[in-house]
Amino acid sequence: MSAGQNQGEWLEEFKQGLNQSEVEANSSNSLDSLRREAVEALMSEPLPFRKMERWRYTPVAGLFKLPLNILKNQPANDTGYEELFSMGLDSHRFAVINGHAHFLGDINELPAGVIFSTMHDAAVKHEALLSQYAGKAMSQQGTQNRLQASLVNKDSKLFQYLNQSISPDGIFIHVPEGIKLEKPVEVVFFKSGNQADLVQTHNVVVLEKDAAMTLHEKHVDEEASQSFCNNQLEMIIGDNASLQHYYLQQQGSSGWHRQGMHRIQAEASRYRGWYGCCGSQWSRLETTVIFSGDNAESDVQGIQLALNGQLSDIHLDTRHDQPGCHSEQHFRGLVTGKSKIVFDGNITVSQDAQKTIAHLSDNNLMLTRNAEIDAKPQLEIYADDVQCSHGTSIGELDEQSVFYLRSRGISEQQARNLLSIGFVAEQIDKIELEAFRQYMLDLLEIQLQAAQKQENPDDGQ
Amino acid sequence: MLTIKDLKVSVEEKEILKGLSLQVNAGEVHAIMGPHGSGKSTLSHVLAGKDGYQVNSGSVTYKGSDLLELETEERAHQGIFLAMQYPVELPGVNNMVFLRESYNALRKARGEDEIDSPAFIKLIREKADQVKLPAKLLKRSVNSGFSGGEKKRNEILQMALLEPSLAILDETDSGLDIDALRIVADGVNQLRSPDRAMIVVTHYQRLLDYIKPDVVHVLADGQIIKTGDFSLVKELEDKGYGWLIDEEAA
Amino acid sequence: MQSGNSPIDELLDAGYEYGFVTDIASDTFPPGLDETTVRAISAKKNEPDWLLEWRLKAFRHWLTMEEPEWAHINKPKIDFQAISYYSAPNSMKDAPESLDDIDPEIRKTYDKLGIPIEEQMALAGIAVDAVFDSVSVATTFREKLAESGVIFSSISEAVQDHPELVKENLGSVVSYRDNFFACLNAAVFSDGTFVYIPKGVKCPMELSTYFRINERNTGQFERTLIVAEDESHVSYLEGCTAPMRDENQLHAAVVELVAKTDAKIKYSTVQNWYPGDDKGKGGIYNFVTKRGECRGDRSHISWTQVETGSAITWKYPSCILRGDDSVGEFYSVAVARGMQQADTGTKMIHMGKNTKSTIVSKGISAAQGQNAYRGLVRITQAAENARNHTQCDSLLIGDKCGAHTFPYIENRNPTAKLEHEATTSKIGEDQLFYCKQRGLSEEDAVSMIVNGFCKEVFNELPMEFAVEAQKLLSVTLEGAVG
Repeated sequence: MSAGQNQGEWLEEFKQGLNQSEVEANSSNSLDSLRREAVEALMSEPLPFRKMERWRYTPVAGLFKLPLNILKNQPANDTGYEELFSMGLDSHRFAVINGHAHFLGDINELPAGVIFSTMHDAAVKHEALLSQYAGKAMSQQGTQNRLQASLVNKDSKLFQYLNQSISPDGIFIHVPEGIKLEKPVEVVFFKSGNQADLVQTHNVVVLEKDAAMTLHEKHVDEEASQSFCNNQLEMIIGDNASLQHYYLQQQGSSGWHRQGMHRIQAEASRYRGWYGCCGSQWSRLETTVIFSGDNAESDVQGIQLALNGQLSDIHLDTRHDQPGCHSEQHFRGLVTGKSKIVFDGNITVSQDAQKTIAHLSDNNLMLTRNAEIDAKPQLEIYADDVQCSHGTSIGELDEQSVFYLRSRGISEQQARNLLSIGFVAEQIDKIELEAFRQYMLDLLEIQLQAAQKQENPDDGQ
Repeated sequence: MLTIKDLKVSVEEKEILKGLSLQVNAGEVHAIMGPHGSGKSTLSHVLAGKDGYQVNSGSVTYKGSDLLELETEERAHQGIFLAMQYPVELPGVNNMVFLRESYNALRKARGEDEIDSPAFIKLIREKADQVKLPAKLLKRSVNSGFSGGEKKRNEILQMALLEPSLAILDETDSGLDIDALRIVADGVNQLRSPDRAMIVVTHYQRLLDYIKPDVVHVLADGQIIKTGDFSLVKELEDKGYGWLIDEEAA
Repeated sequence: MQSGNSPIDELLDAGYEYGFVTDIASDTFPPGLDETTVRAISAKKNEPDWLLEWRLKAFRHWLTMEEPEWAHINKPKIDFQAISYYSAPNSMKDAPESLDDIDPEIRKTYDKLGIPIEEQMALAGIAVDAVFDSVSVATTFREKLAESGVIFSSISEAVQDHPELVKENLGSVVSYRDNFFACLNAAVFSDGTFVYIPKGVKCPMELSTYFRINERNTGQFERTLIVAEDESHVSYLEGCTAPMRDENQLHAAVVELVAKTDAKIKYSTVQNWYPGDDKGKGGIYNFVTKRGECRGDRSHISWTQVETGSAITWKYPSCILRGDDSVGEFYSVAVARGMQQADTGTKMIHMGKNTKSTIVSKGISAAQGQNAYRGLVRITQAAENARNHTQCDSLLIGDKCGAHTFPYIENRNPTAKLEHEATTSKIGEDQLFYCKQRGLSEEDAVSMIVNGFCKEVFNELPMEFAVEAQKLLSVTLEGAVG
């Protein structure tokens, strides 16, 4: 029986499949035990819906009506991955095709002790290490703050359990103490074909004390399909370790994408993230950050594009439980067409986290009628010696600037384009990886033009 | 007026002042010069009674009694005024109201009647004129959004208003252009009087060119290592601090 | 018995402790709530059928609702059957006999605020023969108001004297179905105030002055309705800086404002109900629904509040900006100290073109107080050129308190401009040192800094009241630092 003919039933079918499946009850394998718990939890977990505070602005019912194929995806053939790495970075490369991970380089070239593996391989070869870390960042996720804890309707962890219940493949990286990887690690998540599949991955990146690396992650697909990609990424950053992280989601405009990004940072660790949420008809990025030691730093910058009928949702949860940590989170959003941006940024500072510095900003440009922006920047603070702020703005293009450009002979449409691009480009300029910065600028221009064509099909023809 | 004897002070376990002695008489203007980190600001703060300084030994006698026993505001009531290096901003607190509260607090402590608003406004206008502080700054929040020069002039205005017995100017010249410096110096000079003492703490000589102190001390590594008259300023300008410190070490 | 431990009982206990002796007077209903109670309240007030029907509809709807739990507050469940829903107004039978019977803390506050003995007694609800010259003063006011055509009366009187005006407007802004507490209020509201300003009239005085000296205990389910016709103006002030005696723990008031074309309503509140003791015992639950509708073009509604009292405050004075070019404003100072919990903010619903809203919220948390700002700004699709500016600042005093900001921003129109900023700060040691070096005591310094923090809000209060509010804040925060 294929789910394709039975709209709305893929989740039920998925659950039934689990009931009959072969999760070994007695396996001591850590992934198996995570999986067993997830299977059990999934059965009783409520579907997310609007009355849940965290789903207030994000319609999700359509996702459960997709004609998804939930059967195991076909691993694509082993060649032709290199062209996915179009940025020309000199990098260590992983290709994750339809949920199946492949390391494309030579393991022997890695510095001693560094592990680059697939999750499935790691479950066999590095079981001890994996059981130490897998699920660690995820299990502590979420600032179940007092606000949310007091809600009548609790949150739903359905997608996390959905992911965990099959122990999907993904990448596993372990960088031992003191090792700093020079080349960035580039991971491309690729969905091939036009079949509407459920594609899931679970990825774990561990940096031990004093280690450092750059992770570049990109999500793309081959053809338009109503697939649902449901990923989990865990990052465990040790004492004084440093992770630079780029995340780009540019799946096709009929796809559905969700990523849970969970991070634990130990004492004096540093994280710099740049997130580009650009693709999919429906996407949701849920990030959680927990500081397990003091004086850690987290700096997250990003953009959110919702250009033609897209829904782009970002949920950021930063929890300061330790003193002296510093978090920055700054996003810019651009919305046009019948699209919607949801931004929910939450900073919690607990009583012990004195000397916390935490700032959040979210600035948005809304270009057209019928678009919608919903923002919820929140502060929950229980310590007094802190510097915390958030700021949000929503506006349209400055007419003075449009006029200025027109007075210099630029057409109105072009003027608006330039200014819109400029608004987002200021955020793109913060990308340190030169090749990626250029790639993002090009992508922005292409996407904005495509969106305009869709809105005004007669223009320029 | 002020006698400091063998004062030892530490901040967070680290000893900053290491046996400092100083005698300041009424009518005198003393300059305390010294390289960065020598303990100049610590001395100012200890005299004004700021928290976070641990006095380990020594004594400070002011007008015949133990200064260190007094709370910060009691010292202010007794006529000690500290013009700060970084005057603090008080958002939403009207400058005029602040000055009046402060003025009246001092009057009250001296057993005098509080002054009423019209009389105070008249007084503060005169004083503001004296230190060339634009009247509009009186209506704004205390130091909020003031330029560096405006903040320092606001300090001098407060000094002119409160008429202290002992005024301590902590790096009042830092960050000032030459015009602002002159205004500050004029303000200070106008306030010189036989019953008032001043301590001018500075790193550079340029303010002293306008103020012309009676006594000049060099503070290095928590102690006064040399005392002289105004000619010492000139000497320091030419030679820097190095020769003195070397001399001390030798 | 289940109700044996209800908060109401606890409050009654507390009442004894403070000498608030509660005799059940013959014209007070026994505790309990059903349709009979609602009918009985209506009958006592000799209400017309339409109003009884409205109350009953509300009551039946209320039965289907659940007590909301989303606010950032912790409290025990309220036993609604343990409350008495009617007591005759102005009943002096349960009043304390002298000031000696009053909570000494409250008396201390009276003294600090400099309230004259006579007024203290009136505030405490002690029966005194002559409450200053209120009768003659009130008469003068009443004549002046009548001259200009302003109706200013209790809502019960208005139901009898101006039924058509009440019927047209009651529930037109806050529907009886609106929320749990508003619905309960619609079913059982005791009394309240009705204000009607005819077309073109600028109300000749602040309605506060009159109101403040004549205020009686209007009960826990107060209802206020203010209608401002075209081109009229009114400024209304409720509450009092002095803590008022009240034996009811639960307060669920409703305030409705209607501003027609070019009308302006300014509504100021100073709330200083009993906050409970240091351990959080006793104290008022203040669950209020306040909403104004800018119904006409260029209408203007401005809410200003200073909230220092109550154990729990739960209120969101809101504006529905329906008319084009209408303006909504919300200025708030909320203090949570001791064990107080405040969850307050506003909603600005932009529907008309060129509508404008301003939100300035200043939250002060001290001791173990929890202070949350919760606000909604919604720009609907038709609201061309809407503007909103929101500023939420929190000041923390001490390391056991909390300050929280939960804004909701929803925009569906590309011509809108919205800005939201929130900051958190504490009273800096440098600031305190600076003030002390200039001779101010620590308490004066704190009060000066806090009042500076709140200045934008105090500026919105009527002049004499701003002074009182500043004083109140200083007294409230006394001893909070250090």
